[in-house]
Order: sequence, then structure tokens, then C-alpha cells
Amino acid sequence: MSVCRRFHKDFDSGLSETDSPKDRSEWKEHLAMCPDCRKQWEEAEAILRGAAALKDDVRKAMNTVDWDALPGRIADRAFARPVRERIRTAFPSFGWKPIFAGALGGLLIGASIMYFALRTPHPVRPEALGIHASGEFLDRAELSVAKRETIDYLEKSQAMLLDFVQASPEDAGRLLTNESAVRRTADLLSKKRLVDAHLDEASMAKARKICDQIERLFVELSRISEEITAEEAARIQRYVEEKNLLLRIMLLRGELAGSEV
Amino acid sequence: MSDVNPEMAFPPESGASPEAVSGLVRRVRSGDREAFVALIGMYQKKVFVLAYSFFRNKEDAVDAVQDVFLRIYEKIDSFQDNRNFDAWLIQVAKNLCIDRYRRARGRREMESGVRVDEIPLADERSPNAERASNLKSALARSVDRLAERQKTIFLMRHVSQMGNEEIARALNISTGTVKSLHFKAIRRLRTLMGPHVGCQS
Repeated sequence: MSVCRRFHKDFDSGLSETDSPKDRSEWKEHLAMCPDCRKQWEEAEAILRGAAALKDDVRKAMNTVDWDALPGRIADRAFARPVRERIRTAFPSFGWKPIFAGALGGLLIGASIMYFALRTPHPVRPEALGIHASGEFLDRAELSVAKRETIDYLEKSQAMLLDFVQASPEDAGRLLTNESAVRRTADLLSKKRLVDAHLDEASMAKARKICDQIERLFVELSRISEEITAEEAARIQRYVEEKNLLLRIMLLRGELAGSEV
Repeated sequence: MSDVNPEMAFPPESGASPEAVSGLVRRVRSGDREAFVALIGMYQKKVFVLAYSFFRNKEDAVDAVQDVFLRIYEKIDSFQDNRNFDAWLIQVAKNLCIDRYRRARGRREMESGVRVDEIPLADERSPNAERASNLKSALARSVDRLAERQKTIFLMRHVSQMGNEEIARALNISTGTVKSLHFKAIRRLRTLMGPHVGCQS
């Protein structure tokens, strides 16, 4: 069916009382001149005659409803409902359209991920004890403890190694195998585990490396049997000298002591 | 041919001002039963007409009126005072009617085993005396075959006698869209009702 473009454009003017009289009169003039639009308009009028018949039905149905009783009946049903049904809807309406719900859901998921991803790696342990301190203060305290423990470890190791290096190979063997030396070696090895934890937390890689070398030496010494030969003692002495272990211990101690908080 | 009758076959009951309606809404919020009764009295016929145009059945329409006002009561706390109560009410009514209509149509199709779309239109060879009745029933069945928004707009416009602006507010669309969908509804009805309106296409 060919449709005059004017029919689509001005169709509503022909129906609406709210459009200006000028618009309607122009539309009527067009209908008089355009047989195509006139034909379609007549067909539309027939449809609306059917709609008018539907309105008659509505009118008849309305006459059979008891309008005076209906509001009371509805109000009774509404007020008989539990109060919580209204409270549940008492929150402000944000117009829950899918796009808003999706955006809000995304925001919540994103915020949760960011929270778990960025939260501090050091859970604030002092809070559990009821102590409150800033994160920066706690970091500095941790570093200070790490340095003190490391210096203590280095001092004890240095003293033991000095005794060993300065002794003759024959005496050195006895020095390492007496009861006191064995206990000191074991103490230093267990202390090293404590120092390791502090060094890791304080990210002191250089100190950790030197302490590891000392540890390897003490592990070696702890495995040596009572019958240590002069040759073995000499070999260990050479190892200490070749690695400049005593010098490095001194330098590290000085460095740690100088930078101590 | 004028469709929006200035005499308004189904006018709002009271013609109350927006301030008066807002006052009633506030009283309903605070639990005033009489205010709720008054509010229902003002709008019940308007809702009934819309519901009847969907169901063409008095009982279903009255049930829909009750559901609409119960829903209004449940949601009254979320109604913002700066909104137009009439538009909100019609929006709630329209949504409920469409929901109920969909359920009822599905039930009818299940019971009869025939889709509404497949029910034949009125017989072309009906005698002249029955023409008006046939036109009405053909229109009723054709309206059922319109797309949902076209159907809603057609019924609001020609049965509920709502203006374009009022429909636009209730459906949350522009007046231009209302006009366009209305035109499409008429064009589709002309096609569906061809024999009854003398359309050759």
C-alpha cells in the first residue's frame, strides 16, 4: 500500500483535540485533496468506531461494579497485611533497572577485589593485643630488632671464629670439639633461624647472604667428629681467610651499627 | 474524527489538585486508612477502564484494580513527592495488567491448545445487522495481536482516553514515540482487520 508521507506525519493531528486548529484544518484540506490519505483515513475511522464500541462495553461493565464498597474492601486487605511488608519497601527507590543493578554489582565486586589485593601484607598484630601504633612505627621497630639480632649473631660468630683462626691447626681441632664449643655452635645455628626471619621481614639481603655463609661454616663444624685432624682444621681456617669472613663480619657489624635507629 | 473526548467519558473521580493528592499520600504513609480509601475512590475507575481494556472482563478488571491499589500501598513509602502520582499509578497499573494478561493468555492457550494469534477474525460474510458487533470483536482480537507497546498505547488512547502526554509520562517515553507507536498500531490494525474496514491490502 502506498502511503503518502503526509499521512504518517499528520495522522495524529487529525485525531488529537490538543493540536492547534490550524494543524487540524491543514490536515483536513490535505485529506480533501489526497485520495490516498482520504482512503486510509476512512479505514482508520472504521477501526476507531470499533474502539468506541469497546468503550461502550467498559461503560456497561462499570455500571455493574459497586464503587462505594470497593475502596473499603481494598483498604481492609491492605491494612490487614503485616506491617513488615511495607517496611521492606521503605527504602528509597533507585529505579532498579538492570543497568544500575549491574553497575552496582560490578562496583561491589571490584571494591572487594581491590580490598584483598591492596590490603597491607602485615596484619596489624599489635591491634590484637590492644596496642595501637602506626604502620610506619611498626616497620621501623621491626628493622631495629632485625639489626640488633643480626649484630648479636655476628658478634658471637666473630668471637668464635677469631679463636679458631688464631689458634694453630693442632689446637684449633681441640677448640672446635670441646663441650663448650659444641654448645656455642648449636646456639649459633638456632639463633640463625631467628635472625633469618628478621632479615627476611626487614628485606636485608646483603646481611642475610653473609649470615648464610657463616651458617654453612658452623653446619660444617657441627658435623666434624671429635677426631678432627690438623689438616682439616687448617682447611677450615683457609676457608675463613679466603672468604674474608671475619673482615666481612666486621664491616657488616659496623654498617648495621651505624645505621641503627 | 476526534478521539480524546473533551467531555471525558471516564474522568478522574475528583479532579483533585496535586497538592491534595500529595496530602493524601502522606496520610496513607502514616497509616491513615480513610486517606487510602479516599485515594482509591479518586482513581479506581481510571484503573478499572485500563484493566478492562486489557481483559474485557469485569471480574478480571476488578481483581486488577485491587492488585494495583495493594501494590500502591506496599510501595507508597518509595513514592517520591516530586513525582506525578497519576503517572506513577498508571505505570503500576499498566505493568500489573500486562503481567496478568500474559499469564491469562498463556493459560488460555494451554487450555484450548490454540494460540490467540491463530483464532480467526470475524467472518467476512456476516449479515449487516451484525456488522457492528463483528467489528468490535474483530478489533478486540486484532488488538490482542498487536505488539505489546502498540497495544498498550492504543488502549490507553482509545479506551482509557488518555492524552499523548499522559501516556508518555506513564510509559516513560517521549510524546513523539507515543505518536509513532500509535500510528504503527493503527496501520497494523488496518492490515489485520482488512475485510472489516474495507482495506484491500
